[in-house]
Amino acid sequence: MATAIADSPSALLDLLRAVTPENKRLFRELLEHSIAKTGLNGPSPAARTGASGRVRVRLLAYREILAFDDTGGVEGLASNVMEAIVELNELYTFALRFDVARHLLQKYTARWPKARPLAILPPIVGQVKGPVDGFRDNMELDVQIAPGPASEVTFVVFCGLRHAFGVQLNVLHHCSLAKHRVNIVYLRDFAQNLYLTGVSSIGGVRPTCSALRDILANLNSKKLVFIGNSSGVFGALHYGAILDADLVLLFSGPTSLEIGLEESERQAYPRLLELRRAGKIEWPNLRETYAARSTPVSFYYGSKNRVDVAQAENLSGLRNVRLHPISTSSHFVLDYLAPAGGIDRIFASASMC
Amino acid sequence: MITEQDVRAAIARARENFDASAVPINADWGDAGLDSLDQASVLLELHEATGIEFPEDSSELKSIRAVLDYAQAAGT
Repeated sequence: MATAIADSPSALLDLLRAVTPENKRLFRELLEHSIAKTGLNGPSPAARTGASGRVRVRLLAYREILAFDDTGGVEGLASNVMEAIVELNELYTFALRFDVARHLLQKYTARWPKARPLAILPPIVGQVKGPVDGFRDNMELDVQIAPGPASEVTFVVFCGLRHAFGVQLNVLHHCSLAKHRVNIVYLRDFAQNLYLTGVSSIGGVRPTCSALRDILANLNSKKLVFIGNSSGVFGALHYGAILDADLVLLFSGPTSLEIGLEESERQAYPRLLELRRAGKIEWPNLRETYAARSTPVSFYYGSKNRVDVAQAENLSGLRNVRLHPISTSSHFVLDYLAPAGGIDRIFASASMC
Repeated sequence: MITEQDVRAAIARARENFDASAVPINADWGDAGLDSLDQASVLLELHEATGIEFPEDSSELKSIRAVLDYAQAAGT
């Protein structure tokens, strides 16, 4: 049976993702059989194996795990940046082998120093060698709760359009947020409507707020910090006002439905207009909302990114809003904040709000 | 030869529930709502479908147009 599974790269990948230390012997047997049978790491193996390029590259990640566990080193099998990205994603998201990923990342960033998708990771990952608590991101869930040890502070994290935070949620959690020992609620917007239709597994905005109130009460939350990245910015602001956040912390994203969404949210915007026409969503003016509130808002964004500047400046002049322009054209700014403990300071300060 | 349709089909395969036809040909992947993992997936799909070899640092191929220009220059 093992042989049959190993002949199907997709089935093998599914199996490897479920491997535990206890059945590691099987893991080795399957992978080595597959490598011998299909030439997994040979030239153009996809054509021979029937594996899609992505499956093949993801399998390479498990080969690296074997190499690392045997020798303490990695091979660096990706032949280009795109393969490296897919391989690292497998290690962070499914295999949770941050130790292997860290060594690979060193190799790959040295090999391709100008590749920004790789360069953003080391400042955030730092020296973290593995998960620091029991949280394991399940990408099929749009509500996940990571209780903090006896904390009365809860971070409510609104993922962006791609259901992550610019980096994989496992990276954000284990390399950054978890060290602040607060409760964390991770939300995803599967409907991709800037959370204007609520969180899909719960329902509309009202049911979502009601469910969140229950979750926050169960966590014994006394202080609420709403955090948004990219498309999650709108959700963090919107729900932060409804649920009376103590602080809203934002990283590059939309604050207004009237500014450039046809450009920055090409997929969502026509849908949002249709939902608005059908009277199925509210169309909140968050500048007006926050002008009438005292909730502090901290907003980090790239000062050379035209769209992000316009969205940030929508909140400029409000006494409770602090804008933090960062000198970059990049939409993703966390890595610019990371050196010298910048991200840690931001989240540590938020955890003491 | 890689066509615009090939790239859009690769986007559709790489990313479920995404309207690949709505991506402007000159838009950066990021501006079009695609992240670096999507971009990597699209290029791997194209490599698989057409055999085209992309440059090692393919993160510089930031739009459909850039991919088409590269493919044309590479004679694919």
